[in-house]
Amino acid sequence: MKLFVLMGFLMAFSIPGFFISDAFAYIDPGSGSMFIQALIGALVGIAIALKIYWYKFKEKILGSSQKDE
Amino acid sequence: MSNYKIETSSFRDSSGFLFYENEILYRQINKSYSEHYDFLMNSGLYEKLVSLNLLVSHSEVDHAPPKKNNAYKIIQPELIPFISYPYEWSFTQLKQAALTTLQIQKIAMKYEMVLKDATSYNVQFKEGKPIFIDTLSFEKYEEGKPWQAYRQFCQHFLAPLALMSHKDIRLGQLFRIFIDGIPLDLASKLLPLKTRSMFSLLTHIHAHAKSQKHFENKKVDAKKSHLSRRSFEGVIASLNSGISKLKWSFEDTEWGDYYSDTNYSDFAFNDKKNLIQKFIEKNNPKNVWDLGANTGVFSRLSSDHEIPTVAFDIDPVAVEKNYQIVLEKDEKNLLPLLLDLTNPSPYLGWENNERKSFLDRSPVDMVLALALIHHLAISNNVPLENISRFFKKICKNLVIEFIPKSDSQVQRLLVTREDIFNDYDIENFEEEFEKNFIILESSKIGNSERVIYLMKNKTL
Repeated sequence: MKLFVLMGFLMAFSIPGFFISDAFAYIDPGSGSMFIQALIGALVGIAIALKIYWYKFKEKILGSSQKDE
Repeated sequence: MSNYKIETSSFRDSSGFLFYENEILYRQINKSYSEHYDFLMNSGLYEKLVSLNLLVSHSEVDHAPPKKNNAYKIIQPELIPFISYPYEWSFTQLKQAALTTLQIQKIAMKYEMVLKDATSYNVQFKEGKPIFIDTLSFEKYEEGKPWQAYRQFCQHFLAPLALMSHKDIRLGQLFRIFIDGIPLDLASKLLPLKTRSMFSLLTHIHAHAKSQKHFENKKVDAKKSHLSRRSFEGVIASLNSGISKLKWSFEDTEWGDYYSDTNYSDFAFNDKKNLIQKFIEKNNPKNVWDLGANTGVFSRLSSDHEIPTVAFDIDPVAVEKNYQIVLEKDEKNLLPLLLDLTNPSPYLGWENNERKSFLDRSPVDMVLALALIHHLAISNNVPLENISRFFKKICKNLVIEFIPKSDSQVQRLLVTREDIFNDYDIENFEEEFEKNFIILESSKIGNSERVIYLMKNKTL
């Protein structure tokens, strides 16, 4: 997971203008903060998706094996 | 509109501001915020949060606005009995405030709204639990837009909690220097290496600080900013998990076990309790501050009788233990807070007036100052005259315990230093306090040399 984060971080840094915002707000959200948020969001989003698919997959396998029994 | 006074802490957000008139607190909502306010009220979010005791309630009132040109509505928010600040909270209080902020954000998202800011000053304590006080912090969620308050949340909650948990509990005091939370590059430098192996701290603090540095003063393209709903929720979940994992395992400090380390018998201890109880009942105060409260044994003599009580102590362990008891017993009237009386919370922020000083939040109806005076007079070299003057400023009634030099607790303080305190005796004590107070009653505690007084302020 850590390696994954590091790779993502390095990859994203290499793309100019990736996920940056100057969104309107009364507090300064900060460009660096927007960037890292987008990156963490993407990573966590992928992790959640994988988890969901994993559970679905497990359910399918276990479900079908239970039916077999 | 005549005698209104704008609350000095509510100038940053252009959505509105707080003001007082005839000692009643109001909030003006500006036209620029009308769309979001109506959405908050009509979507069911306001009702939901208020029903869960997560947001202060308010009523819309027919009141002349102080600034007519911008005014949309005037509301009258529910009052919080005592305003406290993050540098006065124990570890668990700050952690609870953080989790409450995230819980509100999660609920808001279900109603298509987000928190536009996440400062710890938006949270206060009511009936023992954190509650959000800024009704104007909610705005409509726009699909794809990142969380504007993310940086502020990390600075106000994650960074200080991580520092307090992994480095030193006293680093919570950095709040006194940094009004908008702990800068992440500083937190990253101070945190131990092991925190880089923790996903939430690696990403939300260390990488976050690096990212801030990298993009410093860089022009950015707004069109390329996008955070899907799932990713947005993922960021909140990740912060929630990071905060939940932070723990503070404290070792007992000097005062953490004070009650088991006293020099008086059970008889004297019970006698002291009975005397204080009697003085409280006699005086029937509206509110009480217990100064040097430790874990709040004597504070509960008032809070258990539904008197709003603030229990101040200098020791973070004592305040933490006290708050744990509040949570465990679901106590509604006791607020434990961290305070060094020799250097109490000052005015902070813009014009030195954004966050109130300790003295500015006084006077209180009654102060309990038990087993305290020797620490002020002997450990901190404060003359009795100055101590009396201090109490005169902060309370209308005073329950104070005098501990003579012969007492072993005082002798303990004198073990390592020369006794230069020639004026420290009961005669001088009474003389100095009688300049500012009327001594209504006094009584010796059990079979000890200690004396408890009930005094009334001559001027307040």
